[in-house]
Amino acid sequence: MDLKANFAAFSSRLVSSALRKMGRGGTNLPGRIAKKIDSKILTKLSEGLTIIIVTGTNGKTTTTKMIGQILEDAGIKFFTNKSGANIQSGIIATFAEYVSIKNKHGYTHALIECDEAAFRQISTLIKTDYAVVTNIFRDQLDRFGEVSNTLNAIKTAVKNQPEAKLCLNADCSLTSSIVTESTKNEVIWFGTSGPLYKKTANELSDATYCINCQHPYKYHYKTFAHLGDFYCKECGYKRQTPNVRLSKIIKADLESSTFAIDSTTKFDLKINLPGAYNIYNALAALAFARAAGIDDELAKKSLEQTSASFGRTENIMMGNTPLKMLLVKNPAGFNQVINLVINNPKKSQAIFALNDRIADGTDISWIWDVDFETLAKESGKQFENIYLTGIRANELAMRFEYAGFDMKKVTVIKDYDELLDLVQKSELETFVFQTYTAMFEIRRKIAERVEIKEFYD
Amino acid sequence: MTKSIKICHLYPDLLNLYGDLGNIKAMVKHLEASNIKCSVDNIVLGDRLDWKKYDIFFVGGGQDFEQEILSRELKETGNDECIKEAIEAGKTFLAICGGYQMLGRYYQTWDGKRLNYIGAIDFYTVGGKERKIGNYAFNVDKAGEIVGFENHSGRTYLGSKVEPLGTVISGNGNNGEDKTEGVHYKNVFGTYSHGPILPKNPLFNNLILNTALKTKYGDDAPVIKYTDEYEIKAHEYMENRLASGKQASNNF
Repeated sequence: MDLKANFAAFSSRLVSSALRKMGRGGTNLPGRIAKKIDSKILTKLSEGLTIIIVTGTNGKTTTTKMIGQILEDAGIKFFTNKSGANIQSGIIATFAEYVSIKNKHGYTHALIECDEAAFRQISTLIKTDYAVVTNIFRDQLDRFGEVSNTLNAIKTAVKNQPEAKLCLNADCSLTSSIVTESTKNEVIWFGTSGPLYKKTANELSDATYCINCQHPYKYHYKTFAHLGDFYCKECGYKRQTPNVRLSKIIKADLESSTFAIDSTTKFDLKINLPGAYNIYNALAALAFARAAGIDDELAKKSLEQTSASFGRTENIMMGNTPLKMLLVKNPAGFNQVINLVINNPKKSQAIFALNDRIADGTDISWIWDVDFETLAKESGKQFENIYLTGIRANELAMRFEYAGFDMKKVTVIKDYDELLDLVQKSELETFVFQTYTAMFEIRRKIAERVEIKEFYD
Repeated sequence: MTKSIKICHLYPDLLNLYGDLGNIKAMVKHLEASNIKCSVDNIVLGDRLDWKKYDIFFVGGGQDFEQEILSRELKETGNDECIKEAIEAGKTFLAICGGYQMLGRYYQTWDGKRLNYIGAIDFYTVGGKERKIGNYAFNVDKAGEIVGFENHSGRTYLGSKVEPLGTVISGNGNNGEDKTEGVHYKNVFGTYSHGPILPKNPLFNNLILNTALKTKYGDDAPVIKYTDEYEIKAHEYMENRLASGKQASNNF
């Protein structure tokens, strides 16, 4: 590594450390400074490393964590970025932090969770060895634009990396369209073999019409949203046969899922994360293991050990009140959490926290695409209390009234301390549905009461 | 005799950007709360529109991929002509964002390509490079201040004989230049306020419903005055926030 790159990396580390001392984490400044000093910084820092990129709309953080566990158990020396640092500047700062001039830590692999647009940007700078795409959904439109932008960003990145091994969601017609006749990449497809839920929320599909010929898709079955065994009668575009396939759900509840896998070998797998979306994340991680030539047996053990990432169905005990922290960022993700809750009825209460800062998405109209109607119908009775909070709690109250919740149970409490007092006293299992910045605020308030894991772990 | 209103949701399969369904739910809620029977039919790809059957038409916004499919579909089925006839016959329309633009004459992309639209109303839209995104407010005669969210790169310019829906109080509206927002032509209400504009603007909801009732029942038309505390609180929150000059509360 040359002097300029070294200086750029050093500057990034210096600024990071200064910011941390000031008590500020998660900023983009260090990476931006490093790039100013040396525009090729990423290329230089990533040289010689095996690069694994995890991208897609939902499930990036959990899938990255699962793959990290697999790498660790396989004895591979790797580093990875924090989930908040998944855009270019954060990725640069991550490399700057771990790669030193003589690579004295001996890292051989970098595992990078990557925003879709950032994947396109860095695809001209970093040689990617593995790219895992979890799925493609409509995200917050004010931040990400149309779903076709997301898809095109990934397509461009893949074109720039013809040697990368791809691990793709076969059940997602949008993701699957990344591969065309001219694609040279090796592909491992992951997918299901039947429906995953008894009851599902009604969702708008982000892919009703064939991406090639614009005729409506047909399905042998759907798992949720637009995912499933799709085909187009008109042009013949259809789901690829999964190489890593879920063959049967054995047991699924609020804490875990057990299912049978058909990959290089056949085996049963229990993950300690609930919900169909986490099953897809596990399939993505298994697809990576297969692409990287890691044994099924090892990957199975790793996945069985993986616990929830920050705010992704994470359990926290607040006194005698068990909290289930559920991060909700877009309608697709929210509807999956609803699927989880309605398929596992239990006497409980719920908090819904809606903020509209930049990181949450400033446009909250997406709450109308969340199927609260089904939640009200299926779970209205199981919730003893429903608390609404966050900057846009009033809009949420209106949405809940429209959805048909019993408004006698619904209370708007904007003061988090007051809210947590009530919740802690109740000793009732509590689902906490929260947008990104609301989760930070609420978690900080919980941390004042009980000891919980650090934010930036 | 019970009065009734028939709503036609145009192409929910194609135009379903963020929360459009909330508008249908809001109309149904106010009608039912006022003891007026109502029904909602969806017109989807492949359907032929029998416009005379309906009192209110709702058309939402869509992404480019779906809008392209729709442009072709409207011509192939002749539904573009049906929509024009319905508008001229005084049917009530609520058209939002992409659906609003589509009623105009054309859309010119920023690099000069021109896409012809239905041309039911004299206005056109020019694509800009920069998107106008954010909470905004505008004033409408008979419905007061309306709060909503805009997210569009198109700038819309109205023909000289066409009235805007309202006057911008904060934000951009049609083009960010002339303070106009949306269009009001005959009984068509067009607006950039995407997502659900009606739930948190109950007076505007009532204005649309009362327009349709008046068209259908003339002097016998009942007048809807329904609002509830949740709608009013959601409205007041945003009205106050915009008045105090804040967009997003602060950056994270």
